[in-house]
Amino acid sequence: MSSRPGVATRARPSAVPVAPARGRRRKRSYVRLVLLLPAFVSLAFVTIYPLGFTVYASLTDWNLFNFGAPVRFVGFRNWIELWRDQNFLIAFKNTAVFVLIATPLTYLVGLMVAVALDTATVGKRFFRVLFWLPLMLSSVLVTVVIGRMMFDPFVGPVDSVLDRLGVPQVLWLANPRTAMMTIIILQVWWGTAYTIMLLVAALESLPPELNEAARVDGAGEWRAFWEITFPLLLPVSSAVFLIQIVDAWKVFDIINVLTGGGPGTATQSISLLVFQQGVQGGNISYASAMAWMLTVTIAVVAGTVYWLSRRWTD
Amino acid sequence: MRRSKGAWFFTYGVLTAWSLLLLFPMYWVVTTSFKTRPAISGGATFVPWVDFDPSLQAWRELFSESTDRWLPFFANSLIISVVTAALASVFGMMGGYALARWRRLGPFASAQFGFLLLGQRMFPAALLALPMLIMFQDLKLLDTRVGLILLYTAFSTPFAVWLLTEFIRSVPVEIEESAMLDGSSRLGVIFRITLPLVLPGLIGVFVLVLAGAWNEYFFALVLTFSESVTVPIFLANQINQTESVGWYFVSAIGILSSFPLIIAALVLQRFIQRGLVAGAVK
Repeated sequence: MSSRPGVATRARPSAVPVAPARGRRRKRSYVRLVLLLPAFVSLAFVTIYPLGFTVYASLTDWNLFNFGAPVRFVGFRNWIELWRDQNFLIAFKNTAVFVLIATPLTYLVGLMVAVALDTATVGKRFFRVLFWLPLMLSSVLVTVVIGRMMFDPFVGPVDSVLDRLGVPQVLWLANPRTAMMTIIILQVWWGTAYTIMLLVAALESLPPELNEAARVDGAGEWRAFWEITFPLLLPVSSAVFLIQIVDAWKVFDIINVLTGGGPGTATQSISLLVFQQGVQGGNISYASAMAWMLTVTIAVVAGTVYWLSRRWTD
Repeated sequence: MRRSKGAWFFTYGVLTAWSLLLLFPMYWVVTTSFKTRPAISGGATFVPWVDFDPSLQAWRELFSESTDRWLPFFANSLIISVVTAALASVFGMMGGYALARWRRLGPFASAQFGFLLLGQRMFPAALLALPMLIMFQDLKLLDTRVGLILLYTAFSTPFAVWLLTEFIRSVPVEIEESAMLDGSSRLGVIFRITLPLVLPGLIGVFVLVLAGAWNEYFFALVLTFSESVTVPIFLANQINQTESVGWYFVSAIGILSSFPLIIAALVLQRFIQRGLVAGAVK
């Protein structure tokens, strides 16, 4: 920054002209390294080590409960085995269905609420504060309170209200279809807060003259939104979509607390299967292969969405 | 700007609907915590004094008879999340300062490095939990608070570094340089000038990391089983019992576990939102 070799050399005997400058530079890079050391160690601890470990484990037949048995290298057997495993295929399908429904729904609800919030005149502050509160709640609390207590067919208010409207009792978690629906509802309830917040921030950064100009030109509000505001939101929208997609593929908390994958295998997700087989079942090698398959899927889907959004916005 | 009637109805229709969807569960938890067991199991009751007689039973039980049923878990969560937030804030300031003030780090540009820090968010917890389980077993960290603190700190530090880099970069380096010309040391300048200026960002990071550690479920589930069980695990266990669930107790615990964070969120919302928005979009 302020160390200039030229300044240093002038004050020193000519025999060792560069030494002080170099000494200073070395000291600075040492400070830099110390400052960044916790970040480096963290990355190694939560990324490099686990990634290397699971790649290695996925190529072996390591099982925690095979005490004393030597761990053998089996190549890509686990990775191939996956695609013949009904459990994995069902979990994969369930997770894909969950992502395909929950992500667009979260975005659409979020967009609607964000636009409404942006155009509100009265009570804006109140709604703003209320709408982002779910972000501070834990996934477990939301699942326990809404998913288990409120959707309970006997003590919950949801079925009680439906009953008064003449709808026969719905056993939400006992039926495969409604169980998945409940999980999607929870994800949308919880995840929309983040979407709303990001979209509102984006809407507020747009110049207000844009809409006024469109209205002077005689465009209706509906058209003004789709032709002017919405395209300007695309970069943020694609970021929001990416975040939601990546999160939805990993879904675990809601399902494990709410249904444990049931009824049967109707709500089994990939993360849940990895937990059951790797942590509870001790089959580290096979679970590693499954978890990697999930990671590869996330990377491919996120990459595709990113690529599409770039082509679309350019 | 004059707005059409239809647009006005859209705005307030959507806002009212979404508010009700958010407020009703909160209303339900609060009222349930004032119900007795018969008032719950007899079917849904909605309005206090009309449908059911409110009772302080759950709260009395919570604070007098059965404190040891929940207090240890709250203590675990409190210690783990506060220490994690403090460590991540300090590490975040250190790393953020380095990335903001030096353009290059060896062969990498600082910006590239910042991107690398965020890459870890893509990896599913399911993938990372397996090696952690083995490592924790080998290091005798299973079911310890220290273990969870180390893990959560390691997960939060890259995020904290990245977020604080943005904030520190917005403080002009000239301010620091002129203070250093006046004879202050760099460390003195950081503490007396830079730190107060990035305090909003630092508070945001602290609360976000705190909330993350307080609410975390997956790793706590894999890595703890009795001594260092945290609140989310405790809460989830309440409903997986075979006997009928004490909903009034669960509701009271739920309120108790989320109340501090909601208050913090209300008071500090500006700081936290800035952090959340910056964390996603840039």
